[in-house]
Amino acid sequence: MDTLVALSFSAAAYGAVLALAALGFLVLYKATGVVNFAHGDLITLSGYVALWFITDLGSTPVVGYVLAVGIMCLIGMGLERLAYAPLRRRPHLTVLIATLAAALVIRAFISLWQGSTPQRLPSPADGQVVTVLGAPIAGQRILILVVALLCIAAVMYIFGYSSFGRQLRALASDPETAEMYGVRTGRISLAAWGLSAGLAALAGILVAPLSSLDLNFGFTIMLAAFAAAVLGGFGNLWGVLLGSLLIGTIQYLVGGYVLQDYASILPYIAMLAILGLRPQGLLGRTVVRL
Amino acid sequence: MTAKATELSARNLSVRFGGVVAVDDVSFEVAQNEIVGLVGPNGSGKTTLLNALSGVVRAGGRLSVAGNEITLGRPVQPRRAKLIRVFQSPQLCPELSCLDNVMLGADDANGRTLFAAWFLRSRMWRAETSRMNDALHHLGRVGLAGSEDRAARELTYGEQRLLELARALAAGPRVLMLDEPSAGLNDAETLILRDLLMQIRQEGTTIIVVDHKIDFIDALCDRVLVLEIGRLIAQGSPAEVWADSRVIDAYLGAAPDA
Amino acid sequence: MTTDRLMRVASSVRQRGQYTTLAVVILLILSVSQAVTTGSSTNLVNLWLVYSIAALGFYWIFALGGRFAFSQTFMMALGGYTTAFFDRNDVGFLGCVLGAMVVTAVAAFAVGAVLWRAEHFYFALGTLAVTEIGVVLFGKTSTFTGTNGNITGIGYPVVFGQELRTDGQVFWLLAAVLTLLLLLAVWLKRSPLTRDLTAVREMPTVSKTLGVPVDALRMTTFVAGSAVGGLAGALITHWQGFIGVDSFGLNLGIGLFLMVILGGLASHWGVLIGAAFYVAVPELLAGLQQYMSILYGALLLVVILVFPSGLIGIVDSLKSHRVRSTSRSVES
Repeated sequence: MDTLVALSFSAAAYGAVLALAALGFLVLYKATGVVNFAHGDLITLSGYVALWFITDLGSTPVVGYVLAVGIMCLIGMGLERLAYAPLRRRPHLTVLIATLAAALVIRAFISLWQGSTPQRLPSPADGQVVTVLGAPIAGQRILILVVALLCIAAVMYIFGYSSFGRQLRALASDPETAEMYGVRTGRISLAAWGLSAGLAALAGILVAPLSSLDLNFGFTIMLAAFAAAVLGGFGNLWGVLLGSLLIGTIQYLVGGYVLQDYASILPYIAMLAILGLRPQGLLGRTVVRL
Repeated sequence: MTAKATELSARNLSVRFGGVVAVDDVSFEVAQNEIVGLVGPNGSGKTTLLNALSGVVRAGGRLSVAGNEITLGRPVQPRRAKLIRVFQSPQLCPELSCLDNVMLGADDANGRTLFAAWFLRSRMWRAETSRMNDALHHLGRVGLAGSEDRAARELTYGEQRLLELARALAAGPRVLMLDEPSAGLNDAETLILRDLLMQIRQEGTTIIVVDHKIDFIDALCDRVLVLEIGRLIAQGSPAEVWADSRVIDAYLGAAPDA
Repeated sequence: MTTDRLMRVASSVRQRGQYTTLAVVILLILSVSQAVTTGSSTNLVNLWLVYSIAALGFYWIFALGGRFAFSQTFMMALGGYTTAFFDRNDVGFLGCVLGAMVVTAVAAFAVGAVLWRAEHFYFALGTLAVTEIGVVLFGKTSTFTGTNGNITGIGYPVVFGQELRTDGQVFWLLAAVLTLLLLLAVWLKRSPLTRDLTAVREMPTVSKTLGVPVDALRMTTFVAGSAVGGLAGALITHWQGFIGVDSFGLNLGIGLFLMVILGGLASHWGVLIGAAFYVAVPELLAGLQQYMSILYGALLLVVILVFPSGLIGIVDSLKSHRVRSTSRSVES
């Protein structure tokens, strides 16, 4: 029973992190149609930026986190100016490659700045253990759940009900008409990139204390977030949440009891199965048959 | 009068997009070597009907060509039954030459595999040469004789539409379906198109034409089908159809009190 | 029409000039073999040859088939492990390498079948998933891949009974394989497939109505390109005598993209340029080793902005310049 509870929390926390990462990716994709290959490396970078604030500049963890998220939002907007805005008229492939280039640069920068030995990000929940139903749960996981749920709710609200969200959606479905109706495409796209990077940062910072921070840390999360988005149906925000929960369940609950060694690849096998059987995901709409 | 064989028979065709019924229970027959016009006000479902016949959209109902049943919803079988479609706006590869574009539509699939490219080269070249000669012939017929090696994007709109027609002819169609072929053509070009289509009919092809120009339809078509909001409301010779009050209603809104 | 004109039109279909370029490339490789004397340079040249092979396979998948596939490094690794497996079981060199190619082709066919209905982005994700699964599997299936995925002591390449022990000797093998593959690439170019694949990339839906077998062609390029990747992996493994989980990692994966994009998507000759770049630049900037990736990233961005068609595009625009100026002089 203890194991089940503990594993469930692990699954939920992991799913929450994936949901944040996937939402970040999806917000950008929906607003600009861009597939951002640098998303994973932004996740990695955010962990290191937070680490820098806490260890090198001596701030408290919470302040460090907030500052890191802020910096990452700025970096996201910077990426928009460098890798997106000048290439907006070019075919999608070009922007894709530009984000790949950005990913390379960020990776290289991180390895130069912090070296390649894995490091650990401290957290305000370090050492705290909460007992739930007799099972010890790391405080960090509770923290993840609380923060993530708040943020996800906020994002869903913004997307669904705010003026910004409406403009984002308008831009996503028809950029030219949106411009004609006064949607400020430049500003919205900047905001989308910033929001996307901010969500990536949150995901990275929340999950980093549970494992170690290294060069591929964010890439792995981004991959799993992709799997979550595919499972749930790409482009569908609720689908992403469902998918993230599923991935967490598959990896921790299924992987905790069965095939422990291969737990980390179970989500990918699930993703392949979905891509093969129902390419539009569990909640996605049917693809035009041709 | 000899009864002509039925080339194409459509029964209860219907196409739905979400809640909208674009084509509603349409049934008709086209005889061999006939030229049938398909007309109707905007939004009446003409293009969707062509889409259904060529397998580009999912459709309910039955379709048979020369007696053979065709599965709807996929382009494979209509193509194999030589039910060939020319699109409303040119769907060409802009960077390829006119000749290449026509050769794309060739019916002959010989030597178009990787295996042939690597291990059966002489057979591949023989097929290529025959396809090329065929394509040159069709380009000549539609009046693009000098333009074989020009890239498709260099052509004018009218020329691109002719190129599409050449590509369709390269497939050796039994039934040729054209979507607004006279759009964007001036009077002289429209006449040339009409003559060309009649020639194609002489050679044994059955033709279905969607168009708006009434003179063009009158001069070209043996029979006319009229659609309104997805339903077939009249069919007959051009004269009969234009005199039909239902057709006048559809086009003008409401017939004046007779 | 005149026979003259017919010949000219026919020649555009027949894509002349490919054989000439192939001859030039062969001469280039031969002159490189004479010019290069030091051991480390030979090593680099061999790397260039074998990366060209892998990149050519990727070119077929990505530039011709139009599919964004992240599985090429997986195929290289699979090829390497398979050849090591056969080698351990005393199969001759040729058998090992052919076995590796067959296994990779079958694996690619399986992946292609699973992802048959997946559209571009999903196909990319699927291949990414396959690669990730591969990384974990290779590390854990010790019977196939050795402890922690490391295998050493793999046999030397053997051609006509002769073991190729030095880099200089392996050079000839790699050059021969590359030349053969380039010949196959030329044959592919000089076939109806070029036009059919262009249609598949640019207008897949309409192509289906034209009877072009879109899915089958995509599968063909994917399987062929992956098998070539497996071949490259097998060759590297025999040449270097060992294989590990990191032998074909993420950096090489990005590198393959770089090679094809830098070289240009318009022509398969570009992969030679792209691979040369990838191999040569770290050497030329030896002092700046650490800044390598930043430079690559920045370079990629610059190339994309300035030369959208890659470095091959420069060659093409030079050619069209000359044609335009000669035709102008003829008309005036």
